[in-house]
Amino acid sequence: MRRPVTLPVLATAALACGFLTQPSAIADPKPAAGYRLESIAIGLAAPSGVEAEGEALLLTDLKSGRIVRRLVDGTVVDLAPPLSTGIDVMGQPTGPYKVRLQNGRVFVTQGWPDANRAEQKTDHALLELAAEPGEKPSIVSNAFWNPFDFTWDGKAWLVIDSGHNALMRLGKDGKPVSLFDFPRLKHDPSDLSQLSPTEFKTGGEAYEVDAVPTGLALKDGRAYVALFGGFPFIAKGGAVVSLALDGSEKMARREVIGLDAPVEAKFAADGRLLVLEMGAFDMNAQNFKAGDGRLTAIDLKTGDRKTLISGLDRPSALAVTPDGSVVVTALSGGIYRLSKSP
Amino acid sequence: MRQCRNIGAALLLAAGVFVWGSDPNLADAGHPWPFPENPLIAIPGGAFVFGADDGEENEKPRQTIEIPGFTVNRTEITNAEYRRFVVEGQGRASNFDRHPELGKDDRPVVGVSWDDADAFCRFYGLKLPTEQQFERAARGATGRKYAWGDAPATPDRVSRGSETCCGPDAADGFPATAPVGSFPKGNTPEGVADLTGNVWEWMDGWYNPYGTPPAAEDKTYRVLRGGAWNSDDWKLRTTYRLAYRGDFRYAANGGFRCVGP
Repeated sequence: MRRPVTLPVLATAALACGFLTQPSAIADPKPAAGYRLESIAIGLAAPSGVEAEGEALLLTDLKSGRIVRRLVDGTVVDLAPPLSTGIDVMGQPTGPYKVRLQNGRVFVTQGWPDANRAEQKTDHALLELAAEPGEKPSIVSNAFWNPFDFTWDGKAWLVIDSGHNALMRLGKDGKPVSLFDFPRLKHDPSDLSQLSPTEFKTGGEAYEVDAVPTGLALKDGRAYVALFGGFPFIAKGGAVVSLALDGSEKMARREVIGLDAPVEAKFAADGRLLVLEMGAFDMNAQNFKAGDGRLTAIDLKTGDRKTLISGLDRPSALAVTPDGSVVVTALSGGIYRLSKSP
Repeated sequence: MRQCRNIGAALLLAAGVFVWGSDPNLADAGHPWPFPENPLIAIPGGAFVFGADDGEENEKPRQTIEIPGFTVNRTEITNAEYRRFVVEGQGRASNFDRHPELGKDDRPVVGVSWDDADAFCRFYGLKLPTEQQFERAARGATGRKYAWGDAPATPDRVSRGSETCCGPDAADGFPATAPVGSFPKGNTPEGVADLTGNVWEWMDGWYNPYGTPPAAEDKTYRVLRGGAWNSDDWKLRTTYRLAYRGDFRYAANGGFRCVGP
């Protein structure tokens, strides 16, 4: 996010995703009963995006700026010169976010520029990698504020702009058009009474935060968007909403509520929605609680939820592979593959 | 702007106000105050009106109390001043240190916790103001509504929010924080700037009802005073008390200034 937003009295900065931290001495994440969890060692310090390419994986790294292909035999190949990384004006890490594959071509979203250098054309942009790994990526569009997740809808790129709080469709002229501007999320002020007893009184005016859209998934003509929620990331304040892509509905439909900072959503092979939650925010630590992240499978028809992985340390991205397993990345360096136990 | 500031300083001297620059007595207790553009201005001791009966419940009662004289920074602590402290005093950078607008050198530092602010003042042998000191500096001895007096809060007097409650606007010339000292019409008679508006200011002590015995004090919340660039007029009053957790350092409208003897 680029702009400060205001609480009723004390204004705060809303934060985009990307809380880069030192690896924590925490327990390994745990799979649900009936599943097994395999750790994949690649050597990326802060993997921030993942996409399945057959049995291979495409990954981005927010620390080094690398974009790599991890082959099934464990070989890791760089796909492009590293993209810029650093700390943005809000003090948050920036660099390559998500990676997507479309017709054999690789695309990535790149965040806001490092605060200590001049802006480049490849900043806050959707980029296409060159066929040759030594060549620089080309710019699909840099008319975003903070492009985060994105996907191809069959005709055009749909891009989540976490800075604009909007879902954008990229036109053929390279200009994004907003399909939906996410309104601010309202909370009961009593949720924040521990922060200030004079400002957030039970029964007082609703308290609003930026929606901060993050994850994007498509199904049956609808876009499912994870809403991370803005600072101070109220516990269970995140949500997933859906929108009709044909524009026939003016309102977003609330699909899931009560999430802790959801950062990505994808549909599993069995039709359930997989939601990756960063976890609860710790005001004292000024970061998300280490090891509080989780992957949850949600049946949107029944509302049934099942935690598939718990104990993730600041998870960042997920991908569903052709064999039905799920790969999850974490900013603390972990990459995990979840599959059903034999 | 520079001319305005010089005129302001001349008026202060003409009024016989002592402007402290590098008092050796204070230097003994900390590093010498290195910011001559932000001097400590003397506020006389004695009786003054404290609290209010026509505000929030926590502002009551209106009473007359006495405190010793003290000195107070002419302006809120700026980003430039705070950055020097971060280097010299090994302080923690503000949360908005890199922000292109809020982080400008001449803007009041924001995004600092109570501990950050307290560490700054103590490094230079100073302290955060008590609520009594703030009110004495901001409302004088007779109990002004705002720092400049009882006249309405207008865009030429204060960096503040919109006409209608409660958002920011640029009617005062600045979309967020203003360069310190930008509203000389809003100064106190002693020449202290921005005690009303621009940024909320951390106070020394804990948030409790007035009259709470020290042994019975709750030590959960700190107090901020003065209102900010996004405050409505009600919260710009010199007696309004804002309570917040002291470790909160995400506020784009919370800063501080220091006091000395």
